Amino acid sequence: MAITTSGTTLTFNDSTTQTTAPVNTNANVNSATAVAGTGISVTGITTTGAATHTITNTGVTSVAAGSGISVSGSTGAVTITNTSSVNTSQLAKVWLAYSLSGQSILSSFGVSSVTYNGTGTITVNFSSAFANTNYATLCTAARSDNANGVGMVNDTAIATGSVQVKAIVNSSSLFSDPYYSVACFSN
Amino acid sequence: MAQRIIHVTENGNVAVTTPVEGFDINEVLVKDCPDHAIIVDSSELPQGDDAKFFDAWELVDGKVIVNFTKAKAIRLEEFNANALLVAQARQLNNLSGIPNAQSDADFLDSLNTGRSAIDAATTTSELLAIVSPK
Repeated sequence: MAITTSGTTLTFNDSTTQTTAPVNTNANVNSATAVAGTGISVTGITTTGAATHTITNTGVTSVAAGSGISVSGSTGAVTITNTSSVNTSQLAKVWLAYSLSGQSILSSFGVSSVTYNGTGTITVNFSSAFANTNYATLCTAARSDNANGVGMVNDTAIATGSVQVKAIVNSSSLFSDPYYSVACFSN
Repeated sequence: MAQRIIHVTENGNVAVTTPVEGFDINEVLVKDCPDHAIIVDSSELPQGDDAKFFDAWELVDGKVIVNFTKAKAIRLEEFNANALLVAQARQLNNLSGIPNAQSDADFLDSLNTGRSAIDAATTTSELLAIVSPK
C-alpha cells in the first residue's frame, strides 16, 4: 500500500517507484500540501486528480576541488583528499609553554610531563619518543622582569624521550620566574 | 588537589615533575621519573617566598624543606653578581667621565649593609626584601 491514513493524516509510506496511481480512500483527507525547505523546492502540487508532483533537491549538487584539495566524483560517494604539500616534517612534533612559577604547564603538545631540575633547567618529557636524537629543538626563555633571557638546549641531555633546556639570564636573578617556550621538529 | 612528582637529583637538589593535564600521574611516575621518585600533593611543597628558593629545597624524611643556610648562600651569590654588574657600570662611567649618582663610599656602604642583612636574615621573606645593588 502506497498511502495510509489516520484521522486527517495522510502518509506516503512506500519509497519505491509507483507504477499505479495511489488512491486516497479516506474521505477525511481532501487535500495535501508540500512545503519547500532548505535545499528542497516543490512544484506542481495539486490536491485532486492525477498530476505530476515534483520535489527537487536544490542543495548541494556538485563538489569542486580547491587549493590543496582534490575531489573524486561529484555525486553519490564523493572522496575529498588533501593534496597539500604540507607534510608532518614541517610541523612541530612537540611544543610547550611552561612557567616556572608554580611549575605550570600553560599549554603543550606531545608532552607528558615537565621536570624542573633547579638552576633554570627543565626536562621536557615527550608523550611519544622520537625515533632517534637527530631532532631539532628550539627554546626561548623570557623573564617576568623584562630583563634579557635566552633558552639553551643542554646537548648532553638530548634523548629520544626527553630534552633538557636551560634558561640563561644576563644578570643573576634567581627569582624572575622564567617563561619557557620549546618546540621540537623531526622527519 | 594537584599533585607533583619529586625526586632528589645527583647534586642533592629536589626536582619537581608536573604531569600534563590528562596524563595519569602514576604513568608519568613510571615513564618519566627515576625509581626513587614519589608523588606528593603540591600543597606539601614549600609555598610563598620559600617556593622562590627552589635551589635550596631539600628532601628530609619525606618532606621538602628549605635549607636556609643554602638559601642565604644563594641570595648572597645573586647579590654579589648584581653588585659586580653595577660596579662594572660605575667603572665605565668613571672612564667615560660620566658621574655616578652614588659616591663610591656610599655604594660600598650599601653593599656592606646588604650583605649584613643577608647574614642576619632568618626567613626567606627577609632575604627577598633586601634590595639588590642598582
